[in-house]
Amino acid sequence: MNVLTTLLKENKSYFFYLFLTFGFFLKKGIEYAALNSYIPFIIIACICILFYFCLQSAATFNRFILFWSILLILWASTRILLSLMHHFINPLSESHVHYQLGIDGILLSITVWVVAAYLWSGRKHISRQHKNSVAIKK
Amino acid sequence: MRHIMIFWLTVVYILSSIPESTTFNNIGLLPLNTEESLKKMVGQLSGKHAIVEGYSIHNRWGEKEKKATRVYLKHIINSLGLSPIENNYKQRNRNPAVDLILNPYEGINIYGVLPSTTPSDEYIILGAHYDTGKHDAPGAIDNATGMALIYHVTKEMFRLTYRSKNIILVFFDQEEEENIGSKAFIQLINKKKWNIHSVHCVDMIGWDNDNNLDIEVFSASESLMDIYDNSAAQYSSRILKKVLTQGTPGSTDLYAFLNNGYNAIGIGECYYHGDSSPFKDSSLDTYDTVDFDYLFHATKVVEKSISTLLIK
Repeated sequence: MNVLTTLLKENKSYFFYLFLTFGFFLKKGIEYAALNSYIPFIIIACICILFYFCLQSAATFNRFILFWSILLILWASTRILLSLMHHFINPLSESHVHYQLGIDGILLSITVWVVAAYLWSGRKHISRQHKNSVAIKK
Repeated sequence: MRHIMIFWLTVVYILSSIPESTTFNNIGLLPLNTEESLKKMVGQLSGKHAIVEGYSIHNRWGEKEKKATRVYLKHIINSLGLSPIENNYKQRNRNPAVDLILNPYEGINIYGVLPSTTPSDEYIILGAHYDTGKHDAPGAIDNATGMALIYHVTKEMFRLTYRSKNIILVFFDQEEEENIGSKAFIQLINKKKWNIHSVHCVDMIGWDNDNNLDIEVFSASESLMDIYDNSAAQYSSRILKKVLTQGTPGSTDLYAFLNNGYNAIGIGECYYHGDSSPFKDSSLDTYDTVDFDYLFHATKVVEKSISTLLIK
């Protein structure tokens, strides 16, 4: 865990955004678990566990961030696509869907997309630091 | 950054232009005469009449309009001397895959409890949904008529000197979205451990093109159907029956109760018998298409049926 502490100290904003994405989906998972729908919580819990184990080496960390960024981009892109379809091709009649795919919904999706792109682009830099930290520790 | 601030201020301004409950304090009382009162209430719920000066409810689909509708419904429950209660709920989506992408359903049912005059743990539910199916649908027949009917029945029951059962007057949210509101209300019933005698759901009751005053009821319960039959006979009209079984899929609040084993009955215009508004879920479902003589007649029949149940 010392490696993580070092990385956290040196890349505060990167890890802030990374943990923010975990927190966002964890909140969603807990919310759904309270409604007896456990799949979102199981998925995010598995991702968090996977993250913990992937901290062991720079290569696995790199791969984890790649995987997580892709998931986030897919999530955001699906929502943006649904919003565009709803507004321009085939409007859905359900009121609650309409409001989730509205302006604030699109803004949220774009924000997640941008954060995912940021995590993706910064992963190699963090991996390099990770490698160095492990080497120094040895 | 400046542009972002201007954008957000605009959004905040639009959202804040939604009238808050305090601005609806001057909603007037409904007329004492039942026929006039039914007309006024349907008119106010479907945008024909303003609920307060300068504000009309043109649909009950959008968040702003549903919020205004709830304020109005709370006001009329209050005018009966009952306390309006909000049943805030969240429900998962039908498909777990959708849960990953979207937030849960969120809505608010509004209800009030008219207590029995003698100690009783039994409850009769009078329910109607308040949302509309499309953003441009005024929802006069679907379902301002149903709301007006159950409100006026409750008002008459309030005047009775003897009531053997409690009455719950409830306006459901999100009927047009797979009966989410009524499903959430069933969870509340279970939580409160209410002993439900029967559930009476009214949906679309303002169209009678052939002027025969026929009312359609659908239920799994013969006993409830018989009560309605006898009541209608006293007003020289017929009840057209459609027997439903548990597990029947459908899109009215009644199904939520039937599928959960309640003694429930649905009341409406002759939807299954070919005499129903062709303007459902459209911009043409307006006040002017409502047959108020028919609505008044149906109100009397339901009133008679409920009072029969309250005497038993």
